[in-house]
Amino acid sequence: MKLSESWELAGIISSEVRFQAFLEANPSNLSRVKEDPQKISKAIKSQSRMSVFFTGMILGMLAIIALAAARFDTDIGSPEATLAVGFAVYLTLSFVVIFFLNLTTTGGLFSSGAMRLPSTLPLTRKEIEHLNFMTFVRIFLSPVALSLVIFPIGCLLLFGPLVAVIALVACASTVSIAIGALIHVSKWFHKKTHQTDESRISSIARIGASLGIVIGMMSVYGLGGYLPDLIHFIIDMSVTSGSWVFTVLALFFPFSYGFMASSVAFGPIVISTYSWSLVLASIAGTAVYSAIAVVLFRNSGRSLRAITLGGISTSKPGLLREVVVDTVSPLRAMVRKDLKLATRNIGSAFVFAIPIFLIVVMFPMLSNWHDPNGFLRSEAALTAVEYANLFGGISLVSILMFDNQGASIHEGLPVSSRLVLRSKTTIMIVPYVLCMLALVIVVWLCNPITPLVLLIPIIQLPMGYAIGMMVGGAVFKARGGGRAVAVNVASDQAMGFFSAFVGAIVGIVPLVGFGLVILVTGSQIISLAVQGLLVIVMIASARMVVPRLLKD
Amino acid sequence: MSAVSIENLVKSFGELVAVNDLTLDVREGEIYALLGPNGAGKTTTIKMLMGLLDPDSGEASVFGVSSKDNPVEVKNLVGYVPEDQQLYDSLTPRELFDFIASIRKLPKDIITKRIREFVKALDFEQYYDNMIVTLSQGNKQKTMLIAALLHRPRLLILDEPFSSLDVRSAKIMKDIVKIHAENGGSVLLSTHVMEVAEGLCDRVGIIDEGVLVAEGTLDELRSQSHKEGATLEALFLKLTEQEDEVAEGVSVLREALSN
Repeated sequence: MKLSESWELAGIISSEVRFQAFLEANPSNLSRVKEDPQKISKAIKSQSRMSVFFTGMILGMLAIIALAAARFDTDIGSPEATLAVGFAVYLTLSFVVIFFLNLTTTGGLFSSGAMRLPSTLPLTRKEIEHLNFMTFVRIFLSPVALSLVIFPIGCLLLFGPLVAVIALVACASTVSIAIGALIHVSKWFHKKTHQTDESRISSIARIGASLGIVIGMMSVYGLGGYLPDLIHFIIDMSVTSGSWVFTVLALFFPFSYGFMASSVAFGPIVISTYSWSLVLASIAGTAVYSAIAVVLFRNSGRSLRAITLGGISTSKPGLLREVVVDTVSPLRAMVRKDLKLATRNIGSAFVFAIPIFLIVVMFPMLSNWHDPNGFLRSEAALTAVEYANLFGGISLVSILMFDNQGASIHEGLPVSSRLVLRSKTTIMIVPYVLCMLALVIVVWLCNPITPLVLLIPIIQLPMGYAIGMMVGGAVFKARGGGRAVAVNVASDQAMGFFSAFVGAIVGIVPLVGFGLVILVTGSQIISLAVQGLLVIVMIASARMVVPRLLKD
Repeated sequence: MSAVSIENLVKSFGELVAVNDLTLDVREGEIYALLGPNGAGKTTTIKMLMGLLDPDSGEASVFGVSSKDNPVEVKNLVGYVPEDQQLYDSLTPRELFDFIASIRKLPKDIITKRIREFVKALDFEQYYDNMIVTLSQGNKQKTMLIAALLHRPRLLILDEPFSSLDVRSAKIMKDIVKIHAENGGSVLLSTHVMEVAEGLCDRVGIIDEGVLVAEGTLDELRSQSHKEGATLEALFLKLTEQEDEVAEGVSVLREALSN
């Protein structure tokens, strides 16, 4: 088979892999695919383009910050130290970017069975393996190419060709190590999410891994902000502890590459300022890690071939368990089912990471929002709570995505729309309450003008019920004419915005009450009382209005 | 009282009239097969009967309970197996049956005994704790059938229920359908497998382009189409006016395969 032919065929297979990754990423996609395949197809293309764009943007941003700090920022430390540490920190963060941004696509490699059809065609084993490799190349082409181009070009422009060559080797090694890790973690996660619980510990491990992955994915977008601080921290450590810290660091990936680049760019200064041992450690480290990267690259290829041709075994040995039915109330059964679904899917686990995401967004904002006396005032807390209301709307619609998976079961069961909505609201209340408690801590850390400010998010807690019911009722009315429906926010962004909007509108009523009363009276206590009163009014309204929106 | 009563049911999707003034009854204790080519309106009819779609006009009811006004009560009376089986892939059959038994508020001891019997009869023990996504199509269909039968429904509605089952399981399920009818239960079955309809059903309704073109026992259909001794397949093709199309298609294929 010619290279051009296998490249073209690999394009078809890689599209299938992306398609399966998209389906795997969220349960709702599985049923939407039949409902509106063209929309799904468009969503995959747009997601793929966005992924390339974001990878390029994040890597570019990290490269610019790291190199600019190394070349122009003399406040951080000496140029040779800044280059070495900036270089290493860039490599670490690019590892994180490549790993997390490609995790779901890699999962698609295992579930797609993409090589099943080619393996039935009259192709030799060698040709199939070649095709498999080309598929892999096509899937990871963009992040790998971007990683191999952006940073080395930056180094070429600022530090010359020798440093650029080291940057190229370092980036290639990082890519190889990241892809090796990616394949192994995806394989493990795929296996874990396709096996059922044998113990509470394995269940907790799976939930923890899901949350860790979601948080990792979200934190990728904020990496640029941490980079100068990381460089600062490492250089400060060597200043306080002595230059031997650098020699030890030079033995570890990815610092070996950083000190190697620094030795090439500032050779005599490095030797005179530090010692020969630093240079030798960086050379040894670079040689060892480059060799490991080559071995990992080969192993990854073998591992990938075994997985795509043979699949991953998700069966488990063990004795057959006795058939016993465990019944609970209908509401508890709905909630229990949804929680099981949520913890077996990366996309669904997003809902429970929302409080952490809220803190990531709110903490920098609140820590800089002070009055001239350095106190955090009520208006800042009100704004933060309103953000949480908006996130509450998004949480509810995200929970509605779970139900797309079991459409056939739902169609035959005597489940009223109200019961469905109550169960979703019950789940949504958990992240909502966690959001409010997280805001209490954030507000407390930001020096509030009075401890009474901490009560604003606490009094708002019961609004989780009103927001959940109102948002769900509005979505059911808009999309199902009042019947319980599942919504896929990924392909129905309008519903995502709509839910956020309704959540914000419903949740703001008690906050507006607080704001108006404090403007008129200046009393925190009266304002909090009005807020509490309006919370009760909104809950009562939800109980009266929502049933009218629903239909069985 | 009829198990199913459908009167002058109409449903359109834009310009397309999917179900056109359909009237039929399924009697208590009867196995009724709904036959029709793809896109004839069978599934739309069943969805309206289940209260999943609102009709443009007409009425559908199950044991006198209106599908439009009280769909939750209809679902209490019915065990439904849709054609497209979208199960909860991330759950195991154990977790799924726990869920269904809880929603239907079934007594724990009785339902445990019943499921044990189903699982044993269908040779399903070894799959009981595997995630549904890992099951074969046939085992998924078994899961769906057990789910539909759990509460001993008065009416079973089965949309292409035997297509993926192995010979043993298909035979068992057919016997279950017969036993269900012998015990006074009713069955509305949509199928493309003529042998199933011929061997299992008391009466057959043939629907084409949303219209009921013929209804009755096999003998009644033979006399309606003036084809004594004809198989149900031949009668179906005649009544849906597809005989010539099929002959032409086979001729074209013969030519393609012989060149």
